[in-house]
Order: sequence, then C-alpha cells, then structure tokens
Amino acid sequence: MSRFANLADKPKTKPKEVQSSMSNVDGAATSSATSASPRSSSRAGRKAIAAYFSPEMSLAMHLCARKNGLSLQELMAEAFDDVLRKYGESPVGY
Amino acid sequence: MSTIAIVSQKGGSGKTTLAVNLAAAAEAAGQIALIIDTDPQATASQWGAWRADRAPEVIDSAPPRIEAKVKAAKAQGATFIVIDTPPHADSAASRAVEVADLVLIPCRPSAFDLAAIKTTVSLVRLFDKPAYVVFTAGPPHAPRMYEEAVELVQGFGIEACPHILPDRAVNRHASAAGASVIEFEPEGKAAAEIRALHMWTIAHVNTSTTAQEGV
Repeated sequence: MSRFANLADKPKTKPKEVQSSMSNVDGAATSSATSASPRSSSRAGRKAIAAYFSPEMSLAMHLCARKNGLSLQELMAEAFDDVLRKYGESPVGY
Repeated sequence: MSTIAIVSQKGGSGKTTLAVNLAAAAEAAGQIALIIDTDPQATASQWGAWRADRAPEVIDSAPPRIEAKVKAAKAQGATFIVIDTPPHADSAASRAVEVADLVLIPCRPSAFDLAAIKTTVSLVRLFDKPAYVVFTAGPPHAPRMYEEAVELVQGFGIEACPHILPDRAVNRHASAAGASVIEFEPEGKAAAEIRALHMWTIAHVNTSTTAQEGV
C-alpha cells in the first residue's frame, strides 16, 4: 500500500514495544535512560553558542557553508578563529 | 517527472495546504505523487497520518537527505514530488530549492507578507530556479487588490502565478478530515482552482526544463 514508506526517516507508527525492550537492555541505568533524550556523542563535553540574526544573515551563512562543502558548525568555527586572530587572541581551532 | 519546492520564509502562508492539495491534484490526474515533509512541525505528515497513508503519500526528511530521497522516490516510480518546507529554515529551504524543477512561493496578498518574500526571492535567484509567487488565503473576489499585489511582486523581480488559491472554508474542513479539497468537494471552486494550478505547474515544469531560457 505505502510505496515510499522505506524512504521515511522515522517509522510512521510508533513501535512502543521496541522502546520498552530498549530500556530493559540498559538494565542498571534505567532511571537515567528514561529521563534524558539520547545525545549525539559529537556533542559530549562541548558547549552550544547561539545567537539571533536577521533571516538574510542566516541564509547567507547556510549558503556559504553549503557552497564550500562545510557544515554550519565548521564555518562558525572558522569565523570564530578569524575573529580571535583579529583581536589578537590565539585561535582555538575546534 | 516534476519536483516542486514550496518555500516561504513566512509562517502561515499556506505552504502545507498548497503542498498537500497540489500533490493530491497530481494523484487525481493519474500521476504518482509524493510529499516530502521537511518541517519539524510535521504538519503534512500529520495530514498523511489522518488519512491512513492513502495516496498521495507523505514521508519526512531531514534537510541533508532531501536530494537522495528525491532520487530514490523517482527510482520507485514517483512522477510528481512536492517538498514542503518550514518557515525560517534556510537549510531545508535551500536544499529543497536546489533539487526542485520549479519553486512555488505561497504568499498572502498583504503588504507584510509580500515584504517577507524578498529573502525567498534571493534564495531562488542563487540557485537560478524558475519561481512563482502563488497568492493564498486572500479574498476570492478582489481583482484590483491582486493587480497591485502582482505589481509589488514584480518589483521584487519575480512573477506571480496566474492561478490564486483564495481563502475558502473547504480548505479547513478538508484538512481536518485528512482529505484534499478535490476529495472533499470534487465539484467545488477550491477543487477547480487547485486542478488549474496543477495543470499550470506541469506546463511550466516542462517548458522550464526543456527550454532553459528566459534568463
């Protein structure tokens, strides 16, 4: 019936049994597993820096990243290092 | 095969209503339509769930996977793909525009909404894609007002689609029932309007992809 269901990111009907069996696998860590949503390991030990800009700035940054094959994060890291150098600070680089 | 991106930086402009009804019109015309919902609010997906995945089917997609999904869907037989995007999401909007044959920018015929399409216009220019503003949710009978709105749109360097989708109660009733306006009221005005827009869309995709002129 559903021709394109295989292309969806998330399954369309939530399989609840799977979730409960997942928390059983964790065993000892069940209390923490239920409270927190899974966090990407690339974010472990790192901090978020957020700011609000005009839609034009947001668009320009996204497109610049896309054109140069970078993620927005990589582009921002480059920009932050540049501005650190500009103000006579050492670049951090990651 | 047509891929249509529905893009507007403004919320409440009727992106999802346009996306689902356009795809439904394609399906009614015998095409195999697919809606790719890139909005984290998943409004189109909700509509798909309400109708128990009756065609046109809705799938979700994170922005980086849009292109791959369009390719895969084509390989699986899709002939009309509509990509619904969230407002203020430059990543989703730019990926959608990138893969689209034609970009439709739904917009209410009001000064605030018209001023907000500038950002969207600059996005479609960067990717050099044929794009048209589709007036949505305005009054059905206001020729002078639409004339002025068309002039304003042309002032931004973009053309308006000659077919409008005015505010009609059937849009809300149909959405709430998980239906398209064509299914809900096949002989109604809204159904006629979306059919006309679909035919126009098909004609424009064909001319813009075969001719590649008008620059």
